[in-house]
Amino acid sequence: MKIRFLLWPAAFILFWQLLYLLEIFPPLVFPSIWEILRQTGADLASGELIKGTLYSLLVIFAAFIPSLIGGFLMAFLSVKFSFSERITETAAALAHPLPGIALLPILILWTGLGIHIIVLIVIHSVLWPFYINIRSGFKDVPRLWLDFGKNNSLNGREEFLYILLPAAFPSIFAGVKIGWARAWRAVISAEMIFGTIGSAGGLGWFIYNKRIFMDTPGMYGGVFFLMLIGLVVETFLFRKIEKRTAIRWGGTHVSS
Amino acid sequence: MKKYLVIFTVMITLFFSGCTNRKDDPTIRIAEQFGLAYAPLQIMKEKKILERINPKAKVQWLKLGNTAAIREAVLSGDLDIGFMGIPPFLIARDKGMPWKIATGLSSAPLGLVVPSGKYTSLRDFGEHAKIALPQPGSIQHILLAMACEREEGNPALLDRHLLSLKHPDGMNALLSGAVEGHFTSPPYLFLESDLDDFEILISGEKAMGEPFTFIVGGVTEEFYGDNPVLYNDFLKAVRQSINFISENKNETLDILSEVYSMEKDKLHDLLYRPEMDFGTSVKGLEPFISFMHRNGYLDQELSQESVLF
Repeated sequence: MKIRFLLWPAAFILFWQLLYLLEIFPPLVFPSIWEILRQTGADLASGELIKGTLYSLLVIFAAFIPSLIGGFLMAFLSVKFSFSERITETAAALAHPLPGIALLPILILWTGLGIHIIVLIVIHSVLWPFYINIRSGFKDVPRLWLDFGKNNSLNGREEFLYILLPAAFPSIFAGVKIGWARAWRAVISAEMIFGTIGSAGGLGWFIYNKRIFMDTPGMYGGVFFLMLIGLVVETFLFRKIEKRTAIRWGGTHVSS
Repeated sequence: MKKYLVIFTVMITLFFSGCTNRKDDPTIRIAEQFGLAYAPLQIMKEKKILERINPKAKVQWLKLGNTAAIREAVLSGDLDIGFMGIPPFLIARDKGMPWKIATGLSSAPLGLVVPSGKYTSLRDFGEHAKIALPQPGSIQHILLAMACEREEGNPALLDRHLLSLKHPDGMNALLSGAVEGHFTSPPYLFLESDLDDFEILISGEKAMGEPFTFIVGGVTEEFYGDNPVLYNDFLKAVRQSINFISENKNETLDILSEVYSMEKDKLHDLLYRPEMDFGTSVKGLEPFISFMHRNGYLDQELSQESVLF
């Protein structure tokens, strides 16, 4: 398991270095792995990279919690009441395909400038996948299971806690995973378009700044650091949760 | 099976034939950006001025959104010539990009636009006031830092207040009151400062203390070495395009009003203001280099010879 975790990154590094040595691309746009590592080390040591990452993470969590609550409420209501379902389904169909960046000019006009803009853009890109996944999770609970509940005369609260929620959990969890990836995408692209120059900025701003000042190794360093975060969270957080919950509850099968 | 083999062979042949043909005709690939200061390039493109000077030349135009993309395209070998402000050009040269300035293109007024009557000096910006400008390292950012050094003795004075926004977004933000200042260039500078509610707090020229060239054209050393004839034809085409703008006002406005989708009267007012000065001279290189070196934007103190052809 540990070895397999390192296999793909190692192959990737080898491939990168091979491309570098073949000199297909000019080194100013395609630096060697060592230069990238050296510059990334320097950016880690100066605290710039860590600060940027924490800043972006903070934005993501600030957006995640209201989105999770909102998505959950919307999904729950739309399962319970058909008129609420019509509203939220239409809203999702209208808003989900819109990239958050397209909302930037309107958001600036309506709410002014500030960090809240990036939070709002992340909420927009996380809320809809949450809602859609949670709702389809609730909808896909087999009729039979609910009937079991009725036969055992469970009340509404018990039905929700012991049948609906565990049965829908794989879908909800998939929604969280999609939302996590979407949140990173949104935060990085929003920070690249809308950045604060002097004060703190996130990882997207870090990458953008490196590109503007042609610090190409530092730029790739930022991108790889982002990939590393994704890999670590996937391997050490999401897989573990999936194993603990989904397998135990028999909802889905997970490759080890 | 045979059919696939034939298709495969044809595709391979086509693929490689594309590469070999290129050497015969001299090709020149030029990047343009959007904006009034790039007007001579639009004229050169639409009137096919370079093609007329050198009928054999194959001229390709690329439109790219920002200077970073232009520099990357030049580095990856997809572009020979890119136009941009002096500071982003210098940053690339400093990092070892093999190109030099071949020509200037235009001088234009730049400046910090603020609400009228509200500010008298750069020190007056409050704790939460924001100033919009395109991006760090842009000519607008460097000029504002120069102004802060000249007026207040601290080039980083306003850095905390800066917000990176594209020109149109910056203008919207200023007009809606979301930012307190916008360091910008024409046409946005004209459009904003023409309004009664806004004025220019400090101009680029005052920030620098002398006139400077806004947009320059960078040419790769490889292109310069391989195509000396085409290089000179290109410079000739730039001069002719600049002359065309001052000599054929009506036709210029016809062409540009279509490109910019702007009314002719409005465009006439913006393009032919006396401050809009198209010309090939390169001014202000020295002050830019020494300021940017002093403040850590450049690692080396570049010499004039390493920057200019």
